[in-house]
Amino acid sequence: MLWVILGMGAGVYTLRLVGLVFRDVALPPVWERALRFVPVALLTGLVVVGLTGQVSAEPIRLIAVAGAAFVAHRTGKMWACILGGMAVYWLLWWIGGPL
Amino acid sequence: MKSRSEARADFWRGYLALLPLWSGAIPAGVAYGVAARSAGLGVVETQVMSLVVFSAAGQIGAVSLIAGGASPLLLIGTVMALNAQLVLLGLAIGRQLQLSWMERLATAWLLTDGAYGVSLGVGPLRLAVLLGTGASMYTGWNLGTALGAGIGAVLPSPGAFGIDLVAPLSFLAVLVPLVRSRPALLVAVVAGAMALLLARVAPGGVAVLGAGLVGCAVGAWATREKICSG
Repeated sequence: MLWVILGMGAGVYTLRLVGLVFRDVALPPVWERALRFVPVALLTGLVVVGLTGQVSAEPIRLIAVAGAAFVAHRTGKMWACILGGMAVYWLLWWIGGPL
Repeated sequence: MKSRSEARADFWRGYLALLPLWSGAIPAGVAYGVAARSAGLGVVETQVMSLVVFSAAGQIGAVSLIAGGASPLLLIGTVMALNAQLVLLGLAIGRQLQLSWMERLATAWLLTDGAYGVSLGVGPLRLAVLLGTGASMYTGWNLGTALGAGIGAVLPSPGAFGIDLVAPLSFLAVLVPLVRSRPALLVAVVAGAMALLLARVAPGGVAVLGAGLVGCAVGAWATREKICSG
């Protein structure tokens, strides 16, 4: 696993360096526009897969995530979003157990 | 040419200017550390990833895929895809600063959008400030990781108490503020639906990459004649 981690490091370092080295290269506009949406598209994919992947999507997990999204929208703070989501999850779990 | 002491002062100015962002970097590092440990990574592996990859989204993404048993190539590909926007950041900085090769190699080690943003807040972009903010973020992120890896070691099994929910929640926290424009909302909806469909037939990593590619294509299409604000 350590080699895979070093591989990831090398890959990400290369990405950081590429822009600094090829600073005079202009990307086609369509690529520039597509690249801007990389974070939104991939993060959405990760949230969805993280919810449906390993465990069957319990309703209380989805409710907790909806609550967390609301908190993230209102506060814009990562810790508030995580704590808010976990608080909802734990509360529902304490009331009814994993549904 | 700036004197050495001036550059040192700039470095520390940048380092201190980024300290407020530790309030985000440390909890994110803790979240990653806990998630990594619950995915089965050792303390050393967990920390080394933060030292060499230095990317919250990339690392938490990698960890959720490791938990699902993804192949090494898929892991590296996903982590790189999650950081594709760093190319744009490098281009932006490369156009603003005249850097020697050594300076480029050093800057690339510490480059993050948060550090870049704070550096711009300190004044006209200077290399020493950028390195200071970068080093500061690096410190916060790795401190958080060490803390999370320590907590993760004493926590019970991964599924217990819904700890495996921490990773999707931390993505959500990064994602929600990004979805400000109509095109961004469209991208999120399409990417989410795509991930949901692909997750039924393919491993998690493929679903995430597929969602990413289709989402980006939709984003490029949705912004075809307007200025994009995604």
